[in-house]
Amino acid sequence: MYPRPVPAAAPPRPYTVSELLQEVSGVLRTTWRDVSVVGEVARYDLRNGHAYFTLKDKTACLSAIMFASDLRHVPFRIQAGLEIVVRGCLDLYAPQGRFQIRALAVEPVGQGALQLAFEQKKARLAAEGLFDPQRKRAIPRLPRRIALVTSPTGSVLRDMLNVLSRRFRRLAITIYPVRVQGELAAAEISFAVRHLNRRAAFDVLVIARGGGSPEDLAPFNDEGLARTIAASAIPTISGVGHETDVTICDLVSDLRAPTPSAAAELVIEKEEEILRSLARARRDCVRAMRARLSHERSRLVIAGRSRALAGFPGRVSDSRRRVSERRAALVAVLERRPAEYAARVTAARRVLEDFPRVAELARRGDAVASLRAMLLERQRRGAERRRSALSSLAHKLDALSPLAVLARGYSVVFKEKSRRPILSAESVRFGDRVSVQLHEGTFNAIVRETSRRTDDGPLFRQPEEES
Amino acid sequence: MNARVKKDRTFEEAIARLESIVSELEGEDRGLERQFALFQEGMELARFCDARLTEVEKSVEIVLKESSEEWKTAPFEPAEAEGSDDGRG
Repeated sequence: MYPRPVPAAAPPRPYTVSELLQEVSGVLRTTWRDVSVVGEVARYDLRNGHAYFTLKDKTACLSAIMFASDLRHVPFRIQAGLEIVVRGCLDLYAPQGRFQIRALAVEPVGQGALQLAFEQKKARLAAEGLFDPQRKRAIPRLPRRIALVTSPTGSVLRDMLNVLSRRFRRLAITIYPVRVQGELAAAEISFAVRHLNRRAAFDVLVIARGGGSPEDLAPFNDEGLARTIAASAIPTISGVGHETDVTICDLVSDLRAPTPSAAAELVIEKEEEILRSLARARRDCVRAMRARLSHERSRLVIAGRSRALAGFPGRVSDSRRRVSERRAALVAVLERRPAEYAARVTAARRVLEDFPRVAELARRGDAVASLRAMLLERQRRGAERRRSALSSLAHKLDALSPLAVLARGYSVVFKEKSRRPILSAESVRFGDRVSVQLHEGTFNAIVRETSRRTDDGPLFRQPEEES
Repeated sequence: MNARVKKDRTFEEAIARLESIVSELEGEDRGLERQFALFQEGMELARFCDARLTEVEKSVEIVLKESSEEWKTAPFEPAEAEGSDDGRG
């Protein structure tokens, strides 16, 4: 495949790896000094401020590095999946022998870098919940102190003041002058919002700026400003740019107005409208109360004419009659009762007097003594019965005991070191040591001879059969 | 239910309460005593709102920063001429 290296007349000294790579790298840097390449970002890594990523298409991939000093100028975030054009020079990273492009500038494909940066920031802050409707505060209906954060010069402020004074005659307005474009604007507006919050004397805060190019409106897309507005305790209204411009500031504020003048209109309702709704509420209160009163009055009139009321006197006399009947019955009962009680008391007293108290007590004493004697007797008999049962059990045990059998002249033979008696001659052999237990003591012996079991039966028999 | 209007009530609380009183009164569902108490509260709220509407003095002032912490204000006199820092595109 490859042509074999032609041996030179005087072969040059071989390159060291470093020398070779250094030379190739030099060639790459000079011949591919400014190249643009388009591809999709795969694997993006940020280390020590430098970006390391891979650029790929369907069949190939290319390592890329962008140093922090160049990365700083990229407004959007490079992320995997993003299609970008990388402009830079080719290079060889000697420590890893890696071919790479050193990116000096990147551009997204399909949209502007600033537009992409805006979309990315919007998505990020939205994911954090900064734009959530439920965290937006209500704008007070009658703000007593209004703060306007805007440029002190120019028509924007003048228009807003005009709108405000047309809508309401008495308003306390504080203008907080800030720069509304340029690099310092975002920080100045953020500072103003925090500064006004520290005073805690404002009911609403308006951030406003007239229309301008996307670059002019850039301060209102600042992330720091967005967080400051989100953290503001004072409800905020944003009126930045024209109707079509939507900034991060608009999204994070509690209320978004399409223009500064519209923001001024949203600050407060027209005075006459507030007065009108107040007057209406008051009128409705009175009307409802009047209606209720006349309704109650007519109910009273109707009630006075009703049959239920007409029949009332009759019902009263009826009730009165029923009450007096009940009372008579009650009196009769009460008069009868004392006589009954007296009779019962007398009868009871008679019974009590018939009852000889002393004799009763003596009888009770006797009964206790005889019960105690009976109890003692029963206990004694029980004990005796148990004792005799125990002794008969002991006799039975004694008769069964092998010791009793030994006393009658029998003996038990154990194999040495065994607790089991020998029952058959077949379980011992010549020379086995055995121990013989007698009625009194034991002796050891050596088996001299064994013979087969006789028909006499087991060696150990019940004593009754033996005798 | 305290029918007296609280001093520290905000304007929107007062006007919202007033509106809810109106709809409750129009409901005609309550006892007469309750309705009368509501009516009284409503009248008092209306008086309170009226007072709040005229309470604020008209003023337009501009912040003059003294340091990063302190500021004072001065009455604002709008310049008639167009400013350079207009910001209108």
